[in-house]
Amino acid sequence: MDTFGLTSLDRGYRVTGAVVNLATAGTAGATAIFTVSNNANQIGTKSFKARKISVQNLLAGTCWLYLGTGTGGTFASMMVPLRCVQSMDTEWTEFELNGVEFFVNMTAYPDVLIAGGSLNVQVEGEEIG
Amino acid sequence: MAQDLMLRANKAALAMEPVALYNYYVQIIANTGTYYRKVSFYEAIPPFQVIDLCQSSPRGPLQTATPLAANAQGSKLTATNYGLWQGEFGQWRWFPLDDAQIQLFVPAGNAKWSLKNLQVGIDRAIIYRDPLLNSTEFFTWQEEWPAFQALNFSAYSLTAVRIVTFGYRFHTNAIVEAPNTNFNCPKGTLDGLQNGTIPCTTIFCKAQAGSGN
Repeated sequence: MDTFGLTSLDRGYRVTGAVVNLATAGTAGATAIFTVSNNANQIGTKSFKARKISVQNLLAGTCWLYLGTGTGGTFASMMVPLRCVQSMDTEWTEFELNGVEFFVNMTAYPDVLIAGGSLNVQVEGEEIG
Repeated sequence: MAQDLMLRANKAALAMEPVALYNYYVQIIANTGTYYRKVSFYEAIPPFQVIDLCQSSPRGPLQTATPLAANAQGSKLTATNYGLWQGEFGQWRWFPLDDAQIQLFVPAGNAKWSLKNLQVGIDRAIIYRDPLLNSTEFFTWQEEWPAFQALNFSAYSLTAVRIVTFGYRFHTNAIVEAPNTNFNCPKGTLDGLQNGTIPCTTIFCKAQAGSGN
């Protein structure tokens, strides 16, 4: 939708996070997978929505990937968990992901892992504000 | 749902024209009085977040936000970031970045867009329906800050209620008639402005309450 007509571009900035390895199951393993922009001297409040999530299953077994905020005991689920199938790579784009707005770091953990297995996770976020 | 509203704000800022130009005479009607002055400088202020109504001053991003609960009205908060230097007035347009309805006060005690029965507010849809944000325009004088009050009409609490604004700041000088030292206008200018024989632009830097008649 572009009511002004100068350009069809109607997006926030897409920023890609780092590849994060999740090797600990349960909330104790909740780790930041995308970091919100929060420099103390910036003007205004930044937030973001996860627009793309890529997961590589490294012999982790089939598991749920929980998505939320906080780590360890403070983890709060913000989105419906994603199913990660043993030894497969999977991507979810904005067509599958709800547009949950994050004002703090987005964290994630797998519910179970086969010993020695892990997940590689990468998030592409759309920054707002 | 794509929603880079900041891009829209920048496009709206491109199309916004300053209310006065260099050397214009202006009549500033502020909360503290009426002043005749002359514009000496102006510049565009790009879009920026002027206040987050869920955070306390100075509203930095690292401060703990106080969420605005569902179906709740927040406190009226003064946006001190609108403050200008002495002798300056601002021309502003704005919109809320988050899903709340906002009422404006200029300054804090004067409700803007007051009808007899209610005070009109705006929500985020304004930037889609009024892409240049003409209908949100208001003016401020020096540090007569405006204030905002948010109403969360949704069924979920809001972590942030951010106001994005842009516009122009104008620096003005007092009118000094010749032959005074450092004069900036001919003798008789002030009389001419006051009796209407010399044109000037009126800048209404406050909200106007209604009266009984």
